[in-house]
Amino acid sequence: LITMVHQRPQRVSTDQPTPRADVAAYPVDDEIVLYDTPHGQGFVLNPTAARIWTLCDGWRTTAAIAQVVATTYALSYEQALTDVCECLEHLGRAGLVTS
Amino acid sequence: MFVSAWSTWGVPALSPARHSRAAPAANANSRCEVRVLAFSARVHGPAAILRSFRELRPRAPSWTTGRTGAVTATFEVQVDTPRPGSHQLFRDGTLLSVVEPPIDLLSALDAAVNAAAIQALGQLYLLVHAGAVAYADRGVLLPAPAGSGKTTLVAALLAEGFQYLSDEVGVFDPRSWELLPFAKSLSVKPGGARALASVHAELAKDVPRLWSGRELIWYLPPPTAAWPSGPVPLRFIVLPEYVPGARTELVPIGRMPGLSRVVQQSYKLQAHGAYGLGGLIEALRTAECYALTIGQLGPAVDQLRELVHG
Repeated sequence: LITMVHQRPQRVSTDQPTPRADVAAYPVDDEIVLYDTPHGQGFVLNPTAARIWTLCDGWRTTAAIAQVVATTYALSYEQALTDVCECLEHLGRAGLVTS
Repeated sequence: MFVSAWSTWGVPALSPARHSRAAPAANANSRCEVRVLAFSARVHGPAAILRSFRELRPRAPSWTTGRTGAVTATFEVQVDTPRPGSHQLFRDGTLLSVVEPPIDLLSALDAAVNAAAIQALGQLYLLVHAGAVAYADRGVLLPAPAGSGKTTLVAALLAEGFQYLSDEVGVFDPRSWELLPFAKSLSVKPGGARALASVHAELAKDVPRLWSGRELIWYLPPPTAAWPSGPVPLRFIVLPEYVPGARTELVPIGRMPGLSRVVQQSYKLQAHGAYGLGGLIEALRTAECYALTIGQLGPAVDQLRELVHG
């Protein structure tokens, strides 16, 4: 049922990532279900990705998001930045965020 | 894994092969009607066949069929004159299949009517390939692929006083997100018939047994009193899996695995778009989710009974 997005992520600018307006988001416990309305496709964000998604407000920079993630999960800033960039690349590849 | 795509949405639509042969002039001498929620089918054919067919179909509770309007499908059974003993089954004037021998005919007709109902009702309701029962207005949805033991479990729960919604199609009303009945008899397979012999004695003698083309099917009509008196709120999602020899256990799981299974087993969820998915998720917020491994039927029923009584 659930498959990873295997394709090599396309490089997307993630300076101030913004959720696409026509993507509906539904929290389910500590995860989030996204529904890409135009394409009729559903996605599941794990708890970390869900947290990152909620921080994508079009104002926060990737660096600022990484800072919050580092604090939340007690990670080094470098590790958090790596994870945030990877997550945003997945979201960008799936067309769920723009920057 | 940060992001997972739901690559599979739902079970394939039931679309029996169709042929181009048109229905000959009607030589049918009887007809009957089948109603499932807003779906209505008219069936024409030899009186003896339709008499037997009526016995397979339970009468839907009246509160579920009040909105029924025009007939949405017409079926016709014709004797295949070049081949004595064979019958042609038509839907809306188009040949669906040639059925031989006659013992296959009723199950083929029943399956065709159910498929047409699913096709028509999928536009109006959110349908899930699932068993569905209720106890004291607490709805239990049992979404699972074929062969997981849904029908056997539902039949055993009916014997314990549960109310019946369906052994195969869970129906969500998209206005209230409550569960509605899908009026069909339980289709019990040979393994299920053996497991249910102690609680449904009628399986041994009183229930029609028909050949589905692959195996015998026992058609167990739900008792009239088993229908709920109105829509039922969803309270439990239980994912059943029959594993011969395994220890029977009911284990709590998160809502996401429950939701994923419902999405996987849905019919036409995408046709309902964001509204459908959002409504389904809202319905799940008040539901508890469990995985049920069924090694033995009795302990599985005991654990579900304790769950809903709790």
